[in-house]
Amino acid sequence: MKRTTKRTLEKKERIRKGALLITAAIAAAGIAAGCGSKDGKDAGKDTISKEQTETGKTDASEPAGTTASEGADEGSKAFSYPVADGGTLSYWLELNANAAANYSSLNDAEFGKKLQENTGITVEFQHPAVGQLQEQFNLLLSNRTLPDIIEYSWLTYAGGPQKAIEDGVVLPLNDVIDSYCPNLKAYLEANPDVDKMIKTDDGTYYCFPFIRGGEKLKTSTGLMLRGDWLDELGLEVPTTMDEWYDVLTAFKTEKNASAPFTYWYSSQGLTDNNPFAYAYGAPRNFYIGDDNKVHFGAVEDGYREYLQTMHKWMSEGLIDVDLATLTNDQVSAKITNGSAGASFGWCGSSLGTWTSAGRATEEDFTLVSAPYPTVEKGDKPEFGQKDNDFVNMGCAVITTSCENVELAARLLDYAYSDEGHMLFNFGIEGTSYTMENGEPVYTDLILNNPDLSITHAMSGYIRANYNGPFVQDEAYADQYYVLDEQKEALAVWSDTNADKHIIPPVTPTVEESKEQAQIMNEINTYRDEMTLKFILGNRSFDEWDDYVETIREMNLDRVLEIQNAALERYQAR
Amino acid sequence: MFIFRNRTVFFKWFFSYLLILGLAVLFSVGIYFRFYDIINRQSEEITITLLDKMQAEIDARFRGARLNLVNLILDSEVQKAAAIRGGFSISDRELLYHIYSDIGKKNVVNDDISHIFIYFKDGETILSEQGHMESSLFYEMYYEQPGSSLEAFQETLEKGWSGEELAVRNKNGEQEIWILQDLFARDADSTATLGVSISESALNRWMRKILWNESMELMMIQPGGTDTSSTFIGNLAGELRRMDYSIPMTGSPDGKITAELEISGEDYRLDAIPSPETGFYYAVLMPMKRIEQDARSILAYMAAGLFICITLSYIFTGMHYDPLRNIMDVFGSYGKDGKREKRNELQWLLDRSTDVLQTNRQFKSLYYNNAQILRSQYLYQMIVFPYDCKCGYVEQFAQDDVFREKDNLVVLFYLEEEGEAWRQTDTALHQFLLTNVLKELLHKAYGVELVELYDAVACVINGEDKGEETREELESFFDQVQTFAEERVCKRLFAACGSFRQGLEGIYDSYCAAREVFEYREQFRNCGVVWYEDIRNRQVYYEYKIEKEQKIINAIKAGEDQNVCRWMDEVIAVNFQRQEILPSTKKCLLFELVGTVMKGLEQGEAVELLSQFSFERRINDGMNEEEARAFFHKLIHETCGHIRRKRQEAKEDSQYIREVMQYVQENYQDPDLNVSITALHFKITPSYLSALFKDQTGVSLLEYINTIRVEKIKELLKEGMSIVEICPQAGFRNSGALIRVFKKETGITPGQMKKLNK
Repeated sequence: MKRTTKRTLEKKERIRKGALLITAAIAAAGIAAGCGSKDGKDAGKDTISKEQTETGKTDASEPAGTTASEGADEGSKAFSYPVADGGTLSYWLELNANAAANYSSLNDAEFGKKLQENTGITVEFQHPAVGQLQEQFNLLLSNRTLPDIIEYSWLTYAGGPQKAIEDGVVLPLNDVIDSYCPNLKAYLEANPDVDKMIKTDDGTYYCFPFIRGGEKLKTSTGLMLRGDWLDELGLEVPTTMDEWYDVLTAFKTEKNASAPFTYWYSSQGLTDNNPFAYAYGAPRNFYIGDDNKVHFGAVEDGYREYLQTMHKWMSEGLIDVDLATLTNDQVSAKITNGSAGASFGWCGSSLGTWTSAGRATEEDFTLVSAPYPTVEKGDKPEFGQKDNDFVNMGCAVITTSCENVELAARLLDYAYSDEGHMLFNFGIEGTSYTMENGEPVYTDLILNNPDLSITHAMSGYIRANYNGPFVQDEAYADQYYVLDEQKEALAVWSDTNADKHIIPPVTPTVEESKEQAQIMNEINTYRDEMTLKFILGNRSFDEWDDYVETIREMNLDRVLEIQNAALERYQAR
Repeated sequence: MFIFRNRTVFFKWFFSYLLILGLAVLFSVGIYFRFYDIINRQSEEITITLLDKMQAEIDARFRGARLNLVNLILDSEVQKAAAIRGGFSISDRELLYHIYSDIGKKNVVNDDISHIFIYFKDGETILSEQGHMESSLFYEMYYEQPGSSLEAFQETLEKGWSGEELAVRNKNGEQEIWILQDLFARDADSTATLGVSISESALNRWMRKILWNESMELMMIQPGGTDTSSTFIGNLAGELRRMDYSIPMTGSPDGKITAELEISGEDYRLDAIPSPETGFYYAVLMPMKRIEQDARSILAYMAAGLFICITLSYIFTGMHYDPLRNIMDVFGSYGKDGKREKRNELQWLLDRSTDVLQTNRQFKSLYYNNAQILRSQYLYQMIVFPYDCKCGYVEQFAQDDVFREKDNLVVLFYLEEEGEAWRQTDTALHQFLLTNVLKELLHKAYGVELVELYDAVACVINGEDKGEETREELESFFDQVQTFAEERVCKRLFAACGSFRQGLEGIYDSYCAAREVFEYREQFRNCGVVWYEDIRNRQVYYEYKIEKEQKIINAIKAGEDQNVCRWMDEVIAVNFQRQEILPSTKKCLLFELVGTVMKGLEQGEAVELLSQFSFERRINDGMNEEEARAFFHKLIHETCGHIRRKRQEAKEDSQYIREVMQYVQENYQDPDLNVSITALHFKITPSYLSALFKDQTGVSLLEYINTIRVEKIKELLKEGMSIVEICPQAGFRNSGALIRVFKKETGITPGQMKKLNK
């Protein structure tokens, strides 16, 4: 009971002060390393629990740092980076496209060199050919000898991570983390939610995860509209559906916009998070309702209301008539040439890109972000686009072929240490970043490189701009998004209650997955077809019940059953 | 080098190498042109193959693209959409969505095809894989560029097409080939135009796939009309466009075009064929340089190959076929100095061969000399020894000899200066003289051979004996030789001629005759030629009667040297004063006389003196009467003196020994009596006494003493005395010694003797 309290306390502190995390990590590192070196795993475990118990007994409210530093003093003598006698490990991962633009391998990138230097471990990075990740991953698994470490979106593995362990591909990490991964262990202890996400249903650790280390990092899409037009027309940034109706109407009539609102409708990622559907509390996909059960939004009344609104807007010309056949090119063109005044897109590739493109022709061109709309004014948006802390990508596992498990664990655990955290997020101090007022700031080499774009420049030094087995730092996003509008947008868009509704990384069984996929394939096709018909007015809303009934007949309940069961298992972790 | 000194050899050598090189070069040049021709033709063939392949490949791609278009035209939804007049309503968008999804799902838009689109004339909208939009937006997004206009763009699309190709530039300035097709071909009522756009990069990619050689270029060329310029696609497109190049349309009947052109300073050969499928000319640009380069590289290889062949053959022949060195090895292995100077092989060889030839010549002369010597030896054998037909040696050499036939005559020549005898040192000169002059004179009529003997030169003359006639002829020849000898070397020639005898066997006989004549040379000193017939009947015996000898012997025994000398002088005088006596006979006489002296010595018991004389050395042929007399006088004096002295000594010694015997007989009973005591008594050394005693009596003194004692013992034994009793009386200290001596003297013991006496 006391321990739980302490953890909650720690979590709150961490959110407020990132620095504390590091201290805790060091503390845990010291303890684990100190004991794990010779006495074996069990001894290590005992010591940790004893230590914690004592800490709990003495003073629960005492900052963790005090005891931790004591532990660190003891432990640092036993283990420290770089590893003394080194060693070589093979490491398979997809080379991010931005990195691939300038490097053929992470070995060549400054990041890779520095990582090896700091850890004292020689790493042979292996990369699949660009665009052939899936094929080469399958090919890789057909080999008897696997690389020591594989980075992949393991939740995508057929049957989930548990199956990967059963298949003899992935090494269970419970003992390994206890013995050799003080940093990760400390982080997971401080973040029980994350801890839950990265386990299988039966509590087996299997990976070194990519973790979004802040709210801003979990949100990337949202609504945006022409700020200059709003100013010109004397309008406020819309927050409710009605306000949006007014604004779009104004855009159509006053600004003569042929398609006041347009967005890349055929992009699954966007349409799954359609803000207007969210406004009616009915995303077209699964979500967790207030009853803590999984729901399928597309058959609920909220979704009908959303469709009715869309149909209305469509028929009034507030939405691009070609919505269904749009591609990103067209959306960009329409936004930048003034045919459209509002859109839904990403913070970087939409908001940022369009702003700079628009400003090339129109000096005053500005795009402002709008919060996820609500029906009633003043409500906090209940839904919004949001990732889990643990994202299904850049997730590293140690394979069963690995001969030096400790070394691999040490290498991967390094990313969760203080020093590793800085390397993965900011690169090399003095080169890619400097410390200003206690905060890391990217240098001009990254932000104003004359030869390279920001993302390309970053890819040589850090991994925060894509993914990997580490904790992403919020300070990255603050600096990556250069426009004020972008920085604001992340704050605006992330301010929702979406956390409650997003489905954590649940792991249905192989059979369940197969069955679900079969059913959902049919349902989704039908849903999309019907959605378009409703919006375009080719179907009357009188047929709504038939639509819902048809989807139910397609055995939606079975899918919900599967989903709920998986959720229950997850929550029971 | 030797070779450079010898100009002719050098030039021959030089020109033969030059010829080989020249042939190689000629050969290479010939092959170069042949290959140039072949390569040229091959490159043409390659070009044709390439063009065919290109046509097949690219046409297929175009057909594929066109097929997409046809599929789209036949799509009922497209037909339906096209049938909608007056633009699309909102509800029509679903239909458009389906068409759009189809395009996406069929994945017709791949790397090759950049766009596939439907232009709806009524609404002036375009539905492409990029979605449905106003044609103006499509134009703005993908085809807007300086110098073009929306109107022209739309006009182009509305023109009415039936699958023609159109070269269009997109917004990025990249060339695209559009294939346009009206929904209802060339129908004025056609409401839609469908298009497929193939990007330049795709075309380039296809061409690169076909092309295997980087130096060649593939091009697609669409000849421009009167108002439009040509379209070029390929690596050299930019250059050709800048040049404003247009394909010469004067091709062969099948439409093939060949031309040469210069692009940025490089010559190319252009081969092109028209493609009915695409309306393009497919062209291959082959750099002329490459053709030449290929031929030139072959030439280079050829030249290198030839050079290597020549070098290798030179090396290998040098290694395995080098007559000069082989000869040198032969010379080297037989030469005294195995090592030779590398730098001057020919000179060395020349020296060596000169040496060898010289040696050969020396050897020949040596051989000739040896043959001469051998022949001389053979003749010597023939002459000096009696002929033995069984002797293979002679037989072998006489096989083809002239001496077998006819008669042979041996003449011994002897040359002497006034008063001086034959000298060995003059041999060569004499031989030369005799050989040349004699042979010169004789060989016309006779076979002549000359052999040098120890004291003369023997000449075998072979010819027919015609008696007096031959003798006169020969004599005249000898006279000439003699005259010659006297004039030239101041010598006198003496020719001792044997007599003519038949065959080989006769040679020895003739020689013996000649030798006999030769003995008389002293007597015939002044007549040059003496024939055997002249001296055959001469007296050859000396006069020395046996009675005379006995008289002389007796005188020697008596030591009367006066008488001996007188008688010997008489004998010598009688014989030496006879003219006809031969020197050898004189010598025999002298030996006879020496023998007489020896007999005298023997009988006078002075044999030991014989060993002191060595008569052979003192007696020789040339001894005259005076010398002989002196020799014998001396001998006789010595001999007789010795005999007289000996007789005197013997008389003295026997007196002395008698005294010794007397002493022994008186003192034999003294056991101490022995040689030493006796010698002490006579005051001489025991050894001398022993020798003297033995000399005079024949037994040693000790034996004599023992004999006396044994006689006494025998005497006493007869008297019946015991041995013990006898001992003191016979001069023995004990019976042991007595018995031992007795046994030694008599062969039996005293005991046995005693028994015998009984």
